[in-house]
Amino acid sequence: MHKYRLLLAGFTMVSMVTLDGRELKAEEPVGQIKTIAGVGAVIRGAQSVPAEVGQEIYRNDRIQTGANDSLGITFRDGTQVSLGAGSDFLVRDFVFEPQKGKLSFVVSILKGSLVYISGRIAALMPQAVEIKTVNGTIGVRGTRFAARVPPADRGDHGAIP
Amino acid sequence: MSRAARRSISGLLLAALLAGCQALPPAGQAEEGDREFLSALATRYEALGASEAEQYDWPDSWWYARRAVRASAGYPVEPVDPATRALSGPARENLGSARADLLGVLDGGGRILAPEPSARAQAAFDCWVEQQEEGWQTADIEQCRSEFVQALGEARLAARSELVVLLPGENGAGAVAVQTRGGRQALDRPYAASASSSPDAVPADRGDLSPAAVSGLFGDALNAVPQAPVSFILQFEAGGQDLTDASKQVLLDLTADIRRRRVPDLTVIGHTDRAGAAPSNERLARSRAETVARLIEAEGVPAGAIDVKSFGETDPLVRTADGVAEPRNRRVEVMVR
Repeated sequence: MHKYRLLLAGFTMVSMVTLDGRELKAEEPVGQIKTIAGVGAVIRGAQSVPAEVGQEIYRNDRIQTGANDSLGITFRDGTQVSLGAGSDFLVRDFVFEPQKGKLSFVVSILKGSLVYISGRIAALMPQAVEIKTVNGTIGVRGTRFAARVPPADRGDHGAIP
Repeated sequence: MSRAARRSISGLLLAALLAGCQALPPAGQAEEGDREFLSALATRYEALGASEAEQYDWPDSWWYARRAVRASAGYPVEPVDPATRALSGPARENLGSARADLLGVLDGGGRILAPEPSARAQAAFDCWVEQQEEGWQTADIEQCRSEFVQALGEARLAARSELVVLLPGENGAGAVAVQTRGGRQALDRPYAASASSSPDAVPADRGDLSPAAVSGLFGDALNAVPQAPVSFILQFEAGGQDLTDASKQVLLDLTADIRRRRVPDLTVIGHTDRAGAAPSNERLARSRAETVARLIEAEGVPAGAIDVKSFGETDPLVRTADGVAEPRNRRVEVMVR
C-alpha cells in the first residue's frame, strides 16, 4: 500500500515538472526518434502526440507503437533502442554527463518488443544501465539484445516496473 | 487390404500432392520462423491421416494428408474453422471459442516459441472438430479434446513468458543478465535466450534461438533500428581555431556522413590540452567546438540539432601533468546520430 502511495506521489511530481518545468528549466532532450514504420505516440505528462521522425524525447516520456507498427530512437549517448509492434516503453532516467561521472540509463518495456544496442553509458559504466520488464530487470555489458514482453492478463501485477 | 498396402496408397497420394505443390508460387510461404512449427504440424497431420486410413475413413485421411503436405512444403495451415462444419449450435460455439484461444496463442508467438506444443494443439483441435462432427465416438472426442487442452496450456506458457535473447554484435563480446525476484540468468553467447514466466520465477535457459526465430519475433524492431551513430575527432593547431591538415580530411568524412542521414543530430564537445589556465582553456575549447558547429551548420544542419559543449582541459585523451602542451588533447569530438 505504501509503495503505491509513493508511486502516485512520484507520478504527480513528474507531471508537474513536465507541464510547468519544461519551459522554465529547459530540460535537455535525451534522444530523438529516427525511424517510424506506421504510427506511434509520445505521451508526456497528460498529453499524447503522434510520434514523428525527428521528434525529441525527454526523460519520463512514454512511447507507444500501434499494433503493426515500429519505431527507432537514438539516445544522446549513442544508445539505440527500437520498438516492435504493440509496444509500451518508458524513459525513466537518462543522465549522460561523463565529465562529472554522472551516468544513468533506466528504461522500462511494459509490453511489446525492444531491440537494444548499447552506447557510451554502457561502455563507461555498465551498472548504470537497467532495462526493466514486467517480470524483472535486464543488465548489460556493452552489447545488443532483444526482449519480448507479452501483454499480460493484468490484475496480478498492476505496478509499472 | 493389408496395412502395408494402405500405407503405400497414402504414400502415393502424398507424392502426388507434393508434385502438385511444387508448382505453387512461393508467395504464400510462411515466415522462416514458422518452419519448425510447420514441420511438427506436418508430422502430426501425417499421423492423424494414417490413423484415419486404418479406420477406412478415406475422406478424412485424405484431408489430413493434404494438410500435412501443405505444412511440410512451408505453407501456412490454419486450424479448421468449426463454422464450416456440420455441428450442433452449442458444439460449434464451444469449438469456436477454443479456436479463438488457440489462434491467440499461435499468433502471440506460440508458433515460434513453442513449435512442438503449438503443432500438437492445432492437430488435436482439428481432430476434436472432426470427431465432434462425426459425433458418435465419445472416447475419441474426449481424447482429442484433452490433448488439445494439455498442448495449448504448454504452448501458452511459453508464449506468455518474457523472452530475452542476446544478439550477435560487431565485436561479439558482451553479455546480459536477466534478474527476477526468483533468480538470475546470464546470457553470454549470441542467440542464447532466457524465458521468465513470472516475477517470482527463476529465469529459465531457453536454449539458443535460431536466427529465423529471432527475425520472426523481432523482425519489425530490428528493421526499425536507427542508423548507427558515428564519432569523429578533429584536432587543432596549438592555441587557435585552425584544424590540422589531417583533420580537414576528417571534416569532409564527417559532413559526408551527415548528408547520409535523414534527421542528423549531433553533440560537439571541445577539449584543450593542459597548457594555460583552466578557465581560459574552458573558453578556448568552447570556441573550438563552436567553430566546428558553424562548419556543420554550413552543411544545412539546423543549429538546434547541434549540442555544443566544452569540457576544457578536464577530459584529456592522453593524461599529462598540468601545463603540458599535448597536440592529441587539443580536439573536438563530434558524435553524429
